[in-house]
Amino acid sequence: MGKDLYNSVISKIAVIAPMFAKALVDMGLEKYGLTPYTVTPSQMKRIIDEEVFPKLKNFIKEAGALETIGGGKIVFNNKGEVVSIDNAVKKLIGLQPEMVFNITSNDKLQIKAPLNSVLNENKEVVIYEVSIKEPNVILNIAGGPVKDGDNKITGAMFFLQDMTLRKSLETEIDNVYEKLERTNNELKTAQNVAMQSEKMAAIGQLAGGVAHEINNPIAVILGFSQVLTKRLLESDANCMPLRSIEREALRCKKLVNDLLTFSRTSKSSMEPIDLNVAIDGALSLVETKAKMRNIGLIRNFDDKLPNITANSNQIQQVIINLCNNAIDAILESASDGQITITTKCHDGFIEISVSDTGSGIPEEVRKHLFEPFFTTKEVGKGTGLGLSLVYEIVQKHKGTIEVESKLPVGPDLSFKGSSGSLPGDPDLSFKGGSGSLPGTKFVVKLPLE
Amino acid sequence: MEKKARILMVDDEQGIRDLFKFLLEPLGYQVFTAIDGLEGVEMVKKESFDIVFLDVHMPRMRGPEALKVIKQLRPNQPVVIFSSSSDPKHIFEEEAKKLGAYTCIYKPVEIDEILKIIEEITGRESE
Repeated sequence: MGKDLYNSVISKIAVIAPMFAKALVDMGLEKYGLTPYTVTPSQMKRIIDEEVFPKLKNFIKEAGALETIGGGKIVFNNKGEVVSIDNAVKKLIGLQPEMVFNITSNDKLQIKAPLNSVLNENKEVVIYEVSIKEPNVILNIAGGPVKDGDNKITGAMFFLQDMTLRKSLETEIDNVYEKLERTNNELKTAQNVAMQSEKMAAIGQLAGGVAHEINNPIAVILGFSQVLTKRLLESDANCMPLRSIEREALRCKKLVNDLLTFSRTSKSSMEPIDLNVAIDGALSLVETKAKMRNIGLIRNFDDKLPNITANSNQIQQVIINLCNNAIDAILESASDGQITITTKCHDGFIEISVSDTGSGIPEEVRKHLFEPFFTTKEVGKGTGLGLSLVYEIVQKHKGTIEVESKLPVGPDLSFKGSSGSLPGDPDLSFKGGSGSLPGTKFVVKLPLE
Repeated sequence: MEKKARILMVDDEQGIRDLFKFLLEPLGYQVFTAIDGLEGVEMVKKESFDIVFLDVHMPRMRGPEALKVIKQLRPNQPVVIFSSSSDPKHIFEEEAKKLGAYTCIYKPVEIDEILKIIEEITGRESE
């Protein structure tokens, strides 16, 4: 950011006091031992309020331009007629001489109602802000009754203060704040991403080593249980537990295989693969998580699915990301739910769909769905990269991804993010509410070459 | 009874060695074991075997080194590499074959697969 804040504050003040703007700000910085590069928005605000504005009035007084800043007053009688208006005010609100006494009738200052409450409704103080178009000024207006010795209301006095400069400085500072916050968040996320991928790499290595070590014990367990199972008669009571051991050992074998496959650094190798096998492999990693939370995983695989040139690891990543999102959506809706994964071949495309019975995707989220770093989860819980990664992988495979979502209340909304269009630019098309269950469905379409 | 094959099982894991004996001896095979590549090579020097099963990661002499030595001693010795890391890309298998291994199997391997390989190799030899 550098000196951006410093420069923009000076340029705003220079509109009024070109000769003194820089000097005023520099004096303020020096007093607090700050430099244009190190001053924070909140410090700048303080300097403006406590150092710059007060001095500005003095400088301008000496330069004879008091009327441009500060303000003045309007005095009314108890009938609501204008008795006097300071020149400063006239200039401030661009009042033509002949309009002076019509100030309440055109009500440019929105002063009619406050004036009435002071004169006729015993209001002691009114304070409000008004924004005028010609000229472009923002005014702070405060008014109160004028009373005589017997405490009878003889009129009203209203003070007008020009807030325009102050307001624009405030807006400037708010903008800087926003920018800072955003940059901060982006930095944090980038850091998280870097940490994540470092972690993933480390985990990959660890997984590789552990898998390797586990294979020996599993081999022994599997081996002995299989030998015994072969030798026992069906009628033997030990047959069942041994079969169990064999089955679970086989399950371990598969899990380790899938973990190993997943942990391998994926070079971009596109080769003809059986998608059902790849997806099944990914699902075995998702299954434990789903089962723990009573979420059913349903596979509807087309067993005549042709092979397709794809990167197996990346397809698995897609499935895992979509399923993880599905699990989170179902948990949000606080019910047992299910996730259905379907593969089918259709019109020269392979369609993979992942649908859940979760809480659906709310309106305000939809246009940000595939945006990198966009997440609806609290800090630390989601990187916001899951779907953007999915989108990228689908793009790399020259495919498209479509989403349908239904909230528990409201119409179906379906929209597409297809390769070739920007992630933030989905076409929104509405489908009528069909009374189907709430939930979300992602459909990935990959072209067969 | 027809004399069945002599099988050498080289693996530093006790469980794997016990498993082979438990599986194969009741079927009539003669099972010999070695605890690492060095011992395995010594045994091959002294006696002949119908099949040698060779683990990869072992102290003192690893599988690939042992394979080379065995092939120098007895060029026609069928050796089955018994690896503990699954290798879907079969890179290891190709390399092992280049070094002269008959095939490569991966732990945890199912019993039927072991039996099948043994039958294949001994079946060939009895022709």
